[in-house]
Amino acid sequence: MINIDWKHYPQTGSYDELVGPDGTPRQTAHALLEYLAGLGGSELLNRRKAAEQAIRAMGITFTVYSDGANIDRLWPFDIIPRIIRATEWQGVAKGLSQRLRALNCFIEDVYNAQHIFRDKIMPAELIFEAGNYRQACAGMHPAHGAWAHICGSDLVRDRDGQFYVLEDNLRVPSGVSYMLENRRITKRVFPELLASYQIAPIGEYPAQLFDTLASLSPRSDEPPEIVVLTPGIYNSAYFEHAFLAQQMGAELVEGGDLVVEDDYVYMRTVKGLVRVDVIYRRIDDQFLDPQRFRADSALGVPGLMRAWRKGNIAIANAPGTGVADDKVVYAFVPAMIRYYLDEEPLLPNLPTYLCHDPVQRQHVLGHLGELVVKPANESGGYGIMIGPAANKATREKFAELITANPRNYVAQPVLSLSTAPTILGRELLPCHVDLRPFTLQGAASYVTAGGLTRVAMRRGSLVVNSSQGGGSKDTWIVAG
Amino acid sequence: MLSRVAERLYWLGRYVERTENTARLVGVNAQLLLDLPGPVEVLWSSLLEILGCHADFARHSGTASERNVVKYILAHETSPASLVSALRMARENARTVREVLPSEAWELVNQLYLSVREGAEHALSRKHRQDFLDRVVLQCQQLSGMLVNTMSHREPYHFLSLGWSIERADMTSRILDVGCLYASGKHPEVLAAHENILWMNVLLSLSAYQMYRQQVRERVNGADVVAFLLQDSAFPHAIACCLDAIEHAFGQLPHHRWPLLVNREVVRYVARAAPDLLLNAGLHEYLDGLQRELARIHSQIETTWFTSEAMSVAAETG
Repeated sequence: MINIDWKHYPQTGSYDELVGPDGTPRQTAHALLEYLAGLGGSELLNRRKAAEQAIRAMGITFTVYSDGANIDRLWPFDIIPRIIRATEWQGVAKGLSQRLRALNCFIEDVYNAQHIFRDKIMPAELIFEAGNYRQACAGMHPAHGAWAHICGSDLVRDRDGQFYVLEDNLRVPSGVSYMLENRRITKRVFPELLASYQIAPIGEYPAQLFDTLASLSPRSDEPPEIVVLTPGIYNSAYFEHAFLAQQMGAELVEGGDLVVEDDYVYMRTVKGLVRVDVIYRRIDDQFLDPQRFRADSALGVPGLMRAWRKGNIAIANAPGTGVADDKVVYAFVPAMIRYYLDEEPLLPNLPTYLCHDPVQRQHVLGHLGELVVKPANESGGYGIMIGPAANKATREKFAELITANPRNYVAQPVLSLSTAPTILGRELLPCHVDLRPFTLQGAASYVTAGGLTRVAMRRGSLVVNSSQGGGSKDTWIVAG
Repeated sequence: MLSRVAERLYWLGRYVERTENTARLVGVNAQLLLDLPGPVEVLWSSLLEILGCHADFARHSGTASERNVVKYILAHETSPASLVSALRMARENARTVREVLPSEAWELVNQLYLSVREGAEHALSRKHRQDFLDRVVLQCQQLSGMLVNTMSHREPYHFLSLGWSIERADMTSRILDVGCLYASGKHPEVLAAHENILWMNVLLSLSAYQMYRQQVRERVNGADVVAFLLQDSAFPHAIACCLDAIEHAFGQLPHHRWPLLVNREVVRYVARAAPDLLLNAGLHEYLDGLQRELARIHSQIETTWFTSEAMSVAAETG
C-alpha cells in the first residue's frame, strides 16, 4: 500500500518539482499534493491501473528492438503530473525560440557566406572535420531562412532550480505525440483535479505543425499537399508518425510511395500521380535520396535532392540541418545568439569542455571521475560515460577514445537532475526528470506549453530514454 | 489516396472475409458429418480441395484424418489457407494502414489474431470446436460492422469493400463446389438418401437457410440452392449480389472504365447459368470458370489502382 505522507517524502539533495524542503508543496503544487493525499494510497493505485487500461485501449505504444524481433511495448506513464509556473515558462519559451532562430541563422550561414568562421567566432575545422556537413546543401536558401522547422530541445533543471539546455535535437526529434497522449490519459484519470487548475492547453500542436509546414510550400496558388515520410512500421517512432499524419490529415508515406519526375515530387495514388509540396520527413539525411547519399537506402526517394535544390519541394527539417545538431556546435550556441541576433541568451547552456581544444582536453582527462563524457554525435543516451559511476576500466577506455578522436567528445559536469514524485511499484519516490519542449519555426514560430517530461523509472537512475527504461509524465503549465 | 494504402486495405478486407468464411466452412463440414451416416472421412479431404491446398497439406500433414485436416486449416503457421495465417496477414495489413482506420478497428483485428492463435489448439477437440468457430465468425462480423458504420464511405472504404466482396464471391463458389462434389455422382450412395440435408448444410454454412426459405417456397433442392447462391440479387453472400457490390464500389473510384467492363462480363457469365442443367453435368467446371472470372476482376483491380506502371503524370486529376 502506498503511504502518501509529504512530510516524510525522501529528500535527495536534488531540486524537486513538486515538493520543497520539509515536505512543503511548491507554490503551484498545493492543490495537487493535497488532492493526492486525500485520494489515499489504494485509490491512487486504482487510478494507475485505469491509466494502464486507457493506454492499452488507446493503443499507445513504442517499438523496441530486442532479441532479434520488434516488439510493440505499451507507453510507460506515471500518472502524477509535473507542474511548472506559467511566469517561469514564458521566459523559457522565449529562450527556446531565440535559440532556434540563432541556430537557423547559423545553418544558413554555414551553407552560404560562412561569416561565422571568418569572424573567428567558431573554428571552421570543427564543422568540416565532422561528418554532418552536406556539400549537397551548399548555396541553398530555404523559405523564411528556416532550416530546422521542428526542434525538440532537452532541458534539465539543476540543484539550483535553474533550467539548462542539455541539447538541441534538430534532426527528427520525437515524443510530441506522447506529450499529447499523456494529457488525454490525465483527463481520463484525474478529471476532477484538472477542473481545479488553470492549465495551458497543448492540443493545438498538430494544427501549429500543419501551419508551419504549409508556410513552406513552394506553391502559393493551391492548398499545399503535405506528407509525413516514415521509414515504416518497424521504426520505433512509427506510432508517432501515424499519429501526426492522422491529426494533420496528411498522407503517411513510405519512400516507395513517392516518385520524382522532371524534378517534381509525386505520390502514387489511386487517381494517379499527385504532386507533393511539403515533406515532413522522419528519416535521417543519409537515407533521403539514394542518388545523392547512401545508395543502399530503400527508405528514400531517388532524385529527391535534385527536386529540393530546384525549389520544387520543401523538406522539413531541411537536409543538412544535422550540421547544427552536434554537442560541439551546442557549446557555441550562446555565442551564436550574440553574433547573429545581437541579443543576450535567455536560457543558459551547461558548461561544456571541448576535447578538441588541447587545454580543455587535458582538464577532461584529469577529471574523468567527476565529469559526464559524451560523444558529440550520438543521441538516445548511447555511448555516454557518467564519471562518478564508471569503474577504472571504463574510464581508461574513454581516455583512449578521447585521445584517438578528440573532436568527437565533449564533457560536462555531473548534474543533479531535478526530481518529481513518481509511483515505483508500491512506493512514492522522487525520480529524476528532464523536459523536451517542441519549438517550431516557419513563417511564424511556436513553442509548446510545456513539453514531454521524461522520468527515470528505475530507482536512482538518471537515464530517462524510453529505450532504456524511462517513462513519462504529463506536464502542466499553470497560472501563478 | 495512396496506392499502397489502397492495396493494403483491399487485402485487409479479403483476409478478414476469408477468416470468417473458413471458420464457416469447417463448422458446416463438422455438422454435416454428424448428420450423414456412412463413409465420411472423405468429407475432410474434400475440404482441402475446396480451399485449394491439397498439395500443401500432403507435404506437411500426412493422412487426411479429421484431426489432421482441422489442425491444418485452423492452426497451421505457414499454410496459406489457415485461419491463423489469414489473420496474421489481416493484422499486418491493418497495422500498416492504422492511420486511415478507426482506431478501434486495429485493436479488434489484433485481439482476433491473438485469440485465434491461443484458442486454435483447444478447438481441435470436437467438444470445443463449434464454440470457437462461432466466436471467430462473430468477431469478424463485429469488425466489418464497425467498419461499415464508422468509416466514411469514400475511397478507403470502397477498397475494403472490394476486398471482402471478391473474397466472399470466391468462397460462395467454393462452398457450392462442396455440394457439387456429392451431387455430381462421385458419391451417389451418400447423396441419394440425403440430398436435402446436404443442401441444407450448404445454405447453413453461409447463414443463408432462413433467407432462402423466405425466398423459395419449395422443398430444399439442389437446383434452387444453386440458383439462389449464384443469382439472387438481394442475399449478401449470393454471387450476383457480391458482383453488384463490386460494381457499386468501382463506380465510386477513379479510372473505373476497364474494371467495370470486366465486372459486367462476369455478371453476364453468372446470369447465363442454368442451374438445373448444370447440376446434371458441368457444375464443377462452371464453378472453376467462375473462379477464373473472379481472378480476372482481381487482376484488373491490381493493374488499375495498385501498380505504378499503370500511372503517369498525365493521369493526374488532383
